[in-house]
Amino acid sequence: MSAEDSTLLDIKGLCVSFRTPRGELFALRGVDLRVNAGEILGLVGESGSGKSVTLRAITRLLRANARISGHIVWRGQDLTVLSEAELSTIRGRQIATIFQEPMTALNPVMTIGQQIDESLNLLRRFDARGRRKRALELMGLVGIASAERRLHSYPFEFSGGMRQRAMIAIALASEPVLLLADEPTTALDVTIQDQILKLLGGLVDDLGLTLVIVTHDLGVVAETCENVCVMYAGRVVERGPVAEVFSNPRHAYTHALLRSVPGSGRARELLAYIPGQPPRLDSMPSGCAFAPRCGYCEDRCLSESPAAVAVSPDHVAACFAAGRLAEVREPQ
Amino acid sequence: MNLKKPRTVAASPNTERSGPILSTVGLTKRFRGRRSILDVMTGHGHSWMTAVDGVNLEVHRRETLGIVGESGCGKSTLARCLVRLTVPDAGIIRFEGEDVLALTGVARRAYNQRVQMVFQDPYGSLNPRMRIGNALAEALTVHAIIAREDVSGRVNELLDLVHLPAGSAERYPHELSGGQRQRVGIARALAVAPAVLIADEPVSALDVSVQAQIINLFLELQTRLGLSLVFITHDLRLVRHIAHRTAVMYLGRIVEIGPTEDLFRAPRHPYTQSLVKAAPQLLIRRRSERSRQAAVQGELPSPFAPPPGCAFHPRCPIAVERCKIETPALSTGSSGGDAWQAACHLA
Repeated sequence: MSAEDSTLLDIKGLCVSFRTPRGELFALRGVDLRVNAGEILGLVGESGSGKSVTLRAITRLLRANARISGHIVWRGQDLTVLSEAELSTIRGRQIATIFQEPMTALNPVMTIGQQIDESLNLLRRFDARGRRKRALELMGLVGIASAERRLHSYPFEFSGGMRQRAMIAIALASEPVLLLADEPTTALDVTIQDQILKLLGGLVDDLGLTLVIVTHDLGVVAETCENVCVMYAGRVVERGPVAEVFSNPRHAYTHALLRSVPGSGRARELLAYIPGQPPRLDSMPSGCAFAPRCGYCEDRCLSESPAAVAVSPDHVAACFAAGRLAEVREPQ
Repeated sequence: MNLKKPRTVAASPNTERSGPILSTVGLTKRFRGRRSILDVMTGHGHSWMTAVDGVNLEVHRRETLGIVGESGCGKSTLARCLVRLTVPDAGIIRFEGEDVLALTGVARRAYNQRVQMVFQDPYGSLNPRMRIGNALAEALTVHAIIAREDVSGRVNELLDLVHLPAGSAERYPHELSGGQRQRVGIARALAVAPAVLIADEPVSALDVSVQAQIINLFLELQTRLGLSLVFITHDLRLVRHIAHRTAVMYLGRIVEIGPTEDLFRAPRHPYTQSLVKAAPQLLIRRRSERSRQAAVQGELPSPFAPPPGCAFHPRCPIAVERCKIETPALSTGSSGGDAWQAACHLA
C-alpha cells in the first residue's frame, strides 16, 4: 500500500449465500464498497437489504451455513483467503465491531472491567496495573461517570445507553483502526441515540478512527456520515457523499426512499411511498431488483441488471433512470 | 359502504356533541415493583412507580392527537388505560360526556366498540392459527353488530377499506408481510365501526417505505370515516406529519401540549426542545459544522425514584433552585392562546 493511498478497505464483488433447506439463498449479490481512512461511511437500507451481512462478512462474523465469495481487501491483504487464526489477528484488533443490542453482545456473567481487560490483553502491552489504568481512561473517554465503581458492574446493572458506551470502550481497548457499528443506536431512545452518535463522531476525530455505521435511518446518516452506500436486495445501488446523494439521488430507490420520509412534504399530506415490499431472497426478480416497485421502470429494467455508473467523480448509481429522476424537494 | 349505525354509549340527553369526544382528568396509574429476597429479609415493602401521573387530555372529534415521549414515559400505559386494558388508580375518563370507568356490562362493551386500539406488533396480536378472514369475522360476531349471513361480505369490505386483496381472507398471519399484517390490525379495529382509534407505535416495526403506506392509510381512513385518532409514537417526524395537536410526556406527566406546528417550531419546555434537537434530521451539514455536543446530557431517572420538583431538572440546562423543589403545572404562555401549555417554571 502506498503512503498516499487512503483506501483502508476495498470490497469487490462480495457475495454471501446461506445454505438453507430451501436451497442456497443469496443475501449479497456482488457488493462493491470502499472505505477510506478517516471517513464516516453510512450503510443504509431496509431490512433484508444486506447491510448487516456486509458488515459482518468483513470480519467473517456470519453463521456457519454462510458462504463468502469475492474480495475483501484490508490494507492490501485479502481477508477472504485468510485462515481463522490469521483473521483473528485482525478481527477485534485492527477492526472492531459494536452491535445493536449490547445486552446480547456483552457477556452477562463478566463485569464490564473484566471485559475491557480481556480486550486490552490482546495488545500484550500492559501489565495488570497498566490495564486497569487504561480501562479507567477508556471509561472516561466514552463518558461513563464514576468509572472506578462501574468497572465492577455487570451489564444488567447498566442502562441501554451505558451498555452501548461500555461496548464502545471494549471495542476501543484494542486500539482498532476501523470501527464497524451495526445499528448502534436503533434500540436507544432519541436523546440517548443523539449522545452515542455525538460520542462516536468525536472519537473518530480525536482518535483518528475510521467508522462504518449500518443503519436504516436516513436521518442518522445525514447527521453523522460523510459518505453513504444505499443498499437494496443485496447490492449497493448508489454511493457517494451524503450531501450529494441526499440532495441529488440518482437511483430510483434512493429517490423514492428519501421522499417517503415524513417531513419531506407538508404536514398531513399523503406521503410518497414505495408500493409493495422488497423482494424475498428466494424469488429475486431478473433485471433490476427494484424494478417491480419502481415508478421509473422501463422494459430493459425488467430484463437487464444496471451496472454502477459514475454520475460525478465520487457519486455512483446503478440505475437506468438516473437521468430521468425528478428533483427532490428540500426537507422542511 | 353500508356501515351499520353503531349503538351509542348509554345515550343520555346531556351528551355534549360539541365537546371533546374523549377526555381524561387526573388520570393516574401506579405499578408495584418487584421485591428482592434482600427486601423481604430486611422487611422492606414494595417499591412503587407512577407510570401515568395526573394526566389531563382532550381528544376532539376528527382530530389526531399525537403523544410522544421516550421509553418509560407512560405513553403506552396511558393508551391501555384509555381502552380499559389497564385499570387506572385514580382519575376520570369521559367518552361523549359519560364516565367510562363507571360503565359496566353492555355499556362497557359498547364503549370498547367505540374506542378501539391498534397495536405495535400485529403479529403478536393476531392468532397465528386463525385465517385473516376468521380473525376479522370474530371481531364482528363478538360484538354482534351484524347478522351472521352478512359477515363474509363485511370482511371483504374491511379488507378493501385497508387496501388488502380479497384473497387475503384465506391467508394466515405468517403469510403476510409486516405492512400487510398492520393493515389487518387496523381492519380488525375498524370492524366494529369505532369513533376513536388509539394507535400505539403502529408503524415502529416497519421499514420506512412501508411506514409511509400505513401513515397514508391512517390519513385516508380518518377523512373517510371521520375518526378521532390518538397516535402514540417515539418518532417525532411521524407525529409532526400526522398530528393536529401533540402532547409530550416525560416520566408519566404531560410536560407540553399544543398545536403540532407551533410546538415543533418553537418548543417551550426544555425537554421538548432537547427532543426536537436530538431527533435526526435530513438536513445536510458538513462534518466540521456538526455539533459535538449532545442535545441533552444524562439519562432518564429511575421511575421508582423520580427526582423531586420538576422531573426533568437533573438533565435540564436551565434549571434553577425552584425547579428542584416545586413541580411545575401545565400553564399557557404569553403567546399561543389556551391551546398551548407547558409545565415549566421558566417557559
